[in-house]
Amino acid sequence: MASIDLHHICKVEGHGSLHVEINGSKLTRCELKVVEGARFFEGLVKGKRYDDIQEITSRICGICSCAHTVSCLQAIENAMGIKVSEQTRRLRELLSIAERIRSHATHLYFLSLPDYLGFESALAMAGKYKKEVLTALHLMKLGNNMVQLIGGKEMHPFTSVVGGFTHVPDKKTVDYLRKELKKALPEAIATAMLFMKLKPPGFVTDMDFISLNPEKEAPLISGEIITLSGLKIKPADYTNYIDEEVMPYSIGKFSKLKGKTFCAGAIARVNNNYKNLSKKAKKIFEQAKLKLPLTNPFYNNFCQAVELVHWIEQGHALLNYHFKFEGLPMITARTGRGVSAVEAPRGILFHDYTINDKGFVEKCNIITPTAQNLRAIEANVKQLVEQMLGKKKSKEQIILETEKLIRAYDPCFSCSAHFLKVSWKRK
Amino acid sequence: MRKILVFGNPYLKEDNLAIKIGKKLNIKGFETIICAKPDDLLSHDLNNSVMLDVAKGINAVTAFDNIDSLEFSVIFSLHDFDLSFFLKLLKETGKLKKARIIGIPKSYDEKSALREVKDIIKEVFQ
Repeated sequence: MASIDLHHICKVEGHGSLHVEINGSKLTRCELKVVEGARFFEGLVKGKRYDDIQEITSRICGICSCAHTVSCLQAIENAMGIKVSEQTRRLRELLSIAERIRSHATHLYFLSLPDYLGFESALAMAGKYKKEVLTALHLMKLGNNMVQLIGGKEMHPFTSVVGGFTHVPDKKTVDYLRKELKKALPEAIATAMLFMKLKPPGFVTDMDFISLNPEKEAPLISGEIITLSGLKIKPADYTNYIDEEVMPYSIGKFSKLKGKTFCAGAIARVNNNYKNLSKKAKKIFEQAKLKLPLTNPFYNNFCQAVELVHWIEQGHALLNYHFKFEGLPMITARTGRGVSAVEAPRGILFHDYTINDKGFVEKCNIITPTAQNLRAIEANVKQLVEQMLGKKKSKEQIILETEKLIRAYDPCFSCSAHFLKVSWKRK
Repeated sequence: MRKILVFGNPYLKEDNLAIKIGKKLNIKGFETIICAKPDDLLSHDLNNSVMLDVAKGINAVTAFDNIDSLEFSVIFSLHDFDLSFFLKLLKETGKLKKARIIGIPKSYDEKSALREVKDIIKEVFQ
């Protein structure tokens, strides 16, 4: 029996491993193991006051700290019946856009692109692909600057609190950010064109795609939950549809949607909400001559690049606003349950809190996009390995393509509890 | 004006010495800037700057100009972008022609470090 053991899947967030066993030319076992320690955030916030929670849960991830902040605050506001202003919503959208720009740019150029260009790392390709690396650095910095100027610091933003914002950007800051976003648009377009040219391996999957579905916009921080198969539910009802399962070999839980494997993230958002992309983003997508829905998860990277174009344009438009400090509402504690679903860079992020009449958290449930994607990744890996075994590919080729597939999902194992080693056994 | 770019984490005892010293540096012809993260490098003319950071593996305040001598952290994830990675990346892209880095041992005496950093900047870089 032969086996593949990827003991540390690199260029992904957090730590995980993959164990594959092969008997002759047949795959007999494939286990995706999240090997990080459980982090107990849901337990940590129990007994804490409603206005302390965001500071704690944003620490689940440095990369997605804005998504955790916004989802947490919205869920608590829903639980306590607090309505926020249009300005607050706009600023939270801008925080989310900024985070998406930096996350997508970093993942695309530094973790994913070296695979396609045949380099071991971004550093190895920097000499030959100077322009691309500098583009990546500029986009990353733009995202970081936006989060800092709107959220107070680059990671774990603190200006957004329950009910509103403690600080809003002044005109000079707004003008600066608009100028920078305008400058970055050609870079985002170049990124999308670059990823359009990369040819992912032929691979078709059978799974559902989940995303938010705001009425008129592309998915970001609100909307109902929809799937490609036609499901449409309110975020608060997610527990009736998404089942989390503990696997004996993984710290991270695996999810199913009404018993079916599903996928969240940029590819799901494009599949489900293509019509709401900006004209420029759509024009680029059309040039790729791809047929929707996309069922090859390798195209998640191209979708991320298309999203870069969309969100840079959208960020520029949202900043066309006169922000002024509105004060913060008087909050009276009340019992309630609140759920929020936002689109983090890697897919839907659920925060769900039950608050008691003193304003303290009694129950918390958080489901990250990677936890939703783990089952899909494992199923896709199984299918890809079988496909490559059928084509008599070498162990090295199989490992490389498997890693590329896993990276295409842009998983964040740190958030899911957490990922990557491949273990391979052949009988 | 030349810049002194200071790196470190003010909240970590083992990584805040450069920041403590940076705040006390007052050298004519140099502006001192405390950098919160490595991508701050992108905002400055690095070929006209001095970088100050705590370093492992040295026993005295030391000036470096060879980026390749810095220990490189392998990038496993988005969380691993550190100063050495950025410096190497900027060197590879041609943005950084010549690095001027001053390393301070993490548990060095603060007064001695301040004096030695000032001396090195004056002697080597002016």
